[in-house]
Amino acid sequence: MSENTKILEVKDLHVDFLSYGAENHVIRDANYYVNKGEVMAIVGESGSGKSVLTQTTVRLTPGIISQGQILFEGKDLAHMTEKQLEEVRGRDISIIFQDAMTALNPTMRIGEQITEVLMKHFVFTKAEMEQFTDELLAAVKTQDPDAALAAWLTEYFRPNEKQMALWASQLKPLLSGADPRSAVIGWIKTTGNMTKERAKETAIDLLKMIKISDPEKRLRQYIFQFSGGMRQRIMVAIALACRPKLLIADEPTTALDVTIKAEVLNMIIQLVRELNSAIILITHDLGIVASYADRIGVMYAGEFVETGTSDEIFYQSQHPYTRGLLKSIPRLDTDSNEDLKAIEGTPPNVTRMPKGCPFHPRCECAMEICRQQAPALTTLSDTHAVRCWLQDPRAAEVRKKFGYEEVQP
Amino acid sequence: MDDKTLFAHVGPLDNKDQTEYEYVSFWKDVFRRFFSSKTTIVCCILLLAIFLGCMIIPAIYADAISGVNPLAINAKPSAEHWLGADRYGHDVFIKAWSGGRMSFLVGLVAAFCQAIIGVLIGSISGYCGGKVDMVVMRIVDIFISIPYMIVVLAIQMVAGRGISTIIIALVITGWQNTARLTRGQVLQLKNEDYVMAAQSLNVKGVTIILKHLLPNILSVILVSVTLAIPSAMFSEAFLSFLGMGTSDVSWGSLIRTGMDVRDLYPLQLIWPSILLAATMLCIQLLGDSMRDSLDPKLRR
Amino acid sequence: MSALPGRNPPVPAHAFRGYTQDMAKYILRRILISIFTIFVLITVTFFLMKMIPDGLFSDPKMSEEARQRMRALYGLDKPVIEQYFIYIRNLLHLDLGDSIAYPGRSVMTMIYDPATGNGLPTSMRLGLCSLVFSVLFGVGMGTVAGLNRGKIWDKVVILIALVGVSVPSFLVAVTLVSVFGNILGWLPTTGFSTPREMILPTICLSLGTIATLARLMRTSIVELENADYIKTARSKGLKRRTIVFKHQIRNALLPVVTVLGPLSASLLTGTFVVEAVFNIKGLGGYFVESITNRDYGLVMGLTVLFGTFLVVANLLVDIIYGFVDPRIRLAK
Repeated sequence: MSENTKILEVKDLHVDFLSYGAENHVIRDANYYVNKGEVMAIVGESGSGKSVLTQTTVRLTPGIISQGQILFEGKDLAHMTEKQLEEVRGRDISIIFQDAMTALNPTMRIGEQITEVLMKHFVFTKAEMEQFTDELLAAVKTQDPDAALAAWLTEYFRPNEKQMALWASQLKPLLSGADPRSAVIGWIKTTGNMTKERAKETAIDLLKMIKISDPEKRLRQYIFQFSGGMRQRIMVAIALACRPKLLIADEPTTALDVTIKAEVLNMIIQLVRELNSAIILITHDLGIVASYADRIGVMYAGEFVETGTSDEIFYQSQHPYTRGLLKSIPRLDTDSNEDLKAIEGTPPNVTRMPKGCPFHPRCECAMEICRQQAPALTTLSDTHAVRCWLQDPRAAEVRKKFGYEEVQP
Repeated sequence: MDDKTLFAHVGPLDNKDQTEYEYVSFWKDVFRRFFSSKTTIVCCILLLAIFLGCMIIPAIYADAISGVNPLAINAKPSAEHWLGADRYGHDVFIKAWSGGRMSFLVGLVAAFCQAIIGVLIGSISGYCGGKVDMVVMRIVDIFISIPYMIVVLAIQMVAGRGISTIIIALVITGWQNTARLTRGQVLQLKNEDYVMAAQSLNVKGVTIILKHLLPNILSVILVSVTLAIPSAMFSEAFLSFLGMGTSDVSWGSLIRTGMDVRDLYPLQLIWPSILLAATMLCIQLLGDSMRDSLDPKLRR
Repeated sequence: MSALPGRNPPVPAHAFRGYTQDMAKYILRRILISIFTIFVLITVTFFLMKMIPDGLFSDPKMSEEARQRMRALYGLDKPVIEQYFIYIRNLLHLDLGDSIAYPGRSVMTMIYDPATGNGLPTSMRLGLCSLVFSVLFGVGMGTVAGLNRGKIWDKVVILIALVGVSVPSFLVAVTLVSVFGNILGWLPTTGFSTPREMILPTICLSLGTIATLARLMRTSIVELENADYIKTARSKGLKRRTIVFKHQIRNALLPVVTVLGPLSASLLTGTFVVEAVFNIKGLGGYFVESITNRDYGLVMGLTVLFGTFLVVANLLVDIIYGFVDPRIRLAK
């Protein structure tokens, strides 16, 4: 399996919101992708559209997609029906929200909130069982049977390692038996199909996984009975219940105390790595992504102003906004006595975007052109792209003045 | 423009804050949102018209509704008596306007007194907290368990019938809601930094309640008082209907007498009913719209 | 608030207690408070009534001797404190005292006449029918309206609810009686014993309550539409129907449950009007009569009865609330 296959690719996405009769272009021309198993970070100030963008990726916002594609494993989420989306949400892509206290139902037991997602995705109808079986039978004929079986189990049943070994050993003899079709359907009915008991066991395992003691008792409690860090970890447990292929973590640690921020974030990254899933980590703090992110996208006012690998963003950033963000992180690894610098001003309101580049009113390098015309995306390498007039050859003078050297080829 | 000027460095704008909206004060914004709905404006105009009608019309045509006019008893509608006349020969159209005076009086005075008592007790209870709060809330609980009909009954036994009996009964049974509401709000605000700051500066409790707490809960109370007006008017009409009301002319007593003759002279029932229902509807809608426009969550 | 953000903050002791134990404790506390409230209510009523000038036997034609006899008959010659204890003792035996206007009849037999079955049971039946009817329809209509915001059903419900809260119930009653009873002749307009007779009074009594509940439920549903946990439920891939029934409606019901107490009070007083319009032999008649007769024995009995009824209604609402909202039940 190649590591660099894109699991999610968002192309030229434009999202509009209707408010009070006016159409606001909240997301403009967004392009990003996430590779299998990698950590993609989206960074930007509050109100830059990061949450809207990612939640629209699974069509959770009322935003209207006026243009563009959202390809998840080749299927376009932008044109799916609500029913098709339900199959993807929670099972293939799940979300961790910022504040678990409000994001979890206050009057429903934790256990129920974990098991309901399992019961939704792993209880199958007769037609589905037949369809899965036919797919398996077709796959084992054309491919390596062991690999096909494992892929099939992962796709539809999401077993953990123990279950994987057990189930594969149960299924193998069935496939070579007399009537493999009815035998496999029978197996799904008795073993593969989720039951209340198994869902509860899974929930207990999940609580153990997020290091909550006495899980059986805890499952019967409500969210307000947990401490802040535990709440967020429960949110993580719910999001990972179906072993999704992609996890969207929307500022997962912003609401937490400083002391437990790192603990929770570490746990999220570690668990996602164990599942071999990808993660989109949304944050307004470039500092915390430094140690985790494989690639970073910097958003400003509903656009990606710069995307690149972690190294490209941290050491070769080409956008004044990215540089501004970097200057505002306290760093221990440099000796310089430079003061921390905040970017002066505030981001624009969606309802009144400035003409030209949206960042020009705050940009120290702003040129006349920036006030008149929005810059296009410039590709600097396979992974590095930036949206800034400084990349224009005619801006060489200003680029030199502010120390934006050419990117090394 | 040539490339050189286009790509000349100009730097950031002086004004980097792009969230600048023109600054609108809270109350101005509330006002603007309140009057932005057509329904609200129509209700305002209608309510004002009814109110002024009640104040002015009976004063001008006082003769048509005083004494007994034997010639016009139960007269049919005519140019002289638009909606006919009642058993005293009083003009039905004009009499209903004068009935509105009493209904407005009951509604406004009862709602106002309820609010004063409720806010006073609620804010003290919430601000003091602890034992005081517990005792006050128990008392509120007990008062809430007394049906207001009983209170009306008891007061009538002592003081006899009349408009003041109804108002007193409504106030006695109505202040608890305002008190609970105020207490809840005060409890929330009590832990705000600015209140703590005032406390740490040894500002007196009364001053804190008056200067820091009340202005901030005014909007919530205002809505609750507004919605208490129609309910007080309703209670008056209700008591009159049961024959427990006032003998003065009010919408309730007019409807009551209209009820007795509804088969023969339906207009005597219909006209005061329309006025009452229209007034209640308008105040209700205004209260709703007030709540929406005072809700900071809906501010923009 | 603890000042230090510890890694493992101490888990509150109640967190590990069992569900039933918590619930039992919560209910017990509520019951004790209710009993106390009823006791205070009785005491206050008793002493208030004693303060009313003794106008009951003030008929000038009555001789002083006859008056003394009457006072002795009702035990009014004893010291007030002793009267109070006698009153309490009688109440514990379900004796609400005696009527003054109808000598020889106890309040108990007046509010419930076993011979005819009139009085309290009829009023209770009317009240309960309306309560059930209004909760079902009010909550149902509010839910439908809230889930279909801006669509035609929403507008219909809003209109009905507005009329319901702004047109007094007795006007609605009179209109319905005229239309369905007198003009169309479909339904009987008096009495409350057969199911057909029960339809109109129930509707009349419920309309205002339905309107209040529908408005409240609609607002509540609409507010939750944007709640974070509804978004979470959607992000789990749950069906809209599941989200609505399992997450949205249940939580939207919380504010609705809290108004059920005051609502039963207004239904209680509403029965008087409906009983008058439909000529139903419930409690309402006695009630109005007792003022005209200055029958304070009856007034006292009714006050205690209604007060107790409301306290019990509030108690039930509190218990229901404890069941639906764990935050209430588990609070210290």
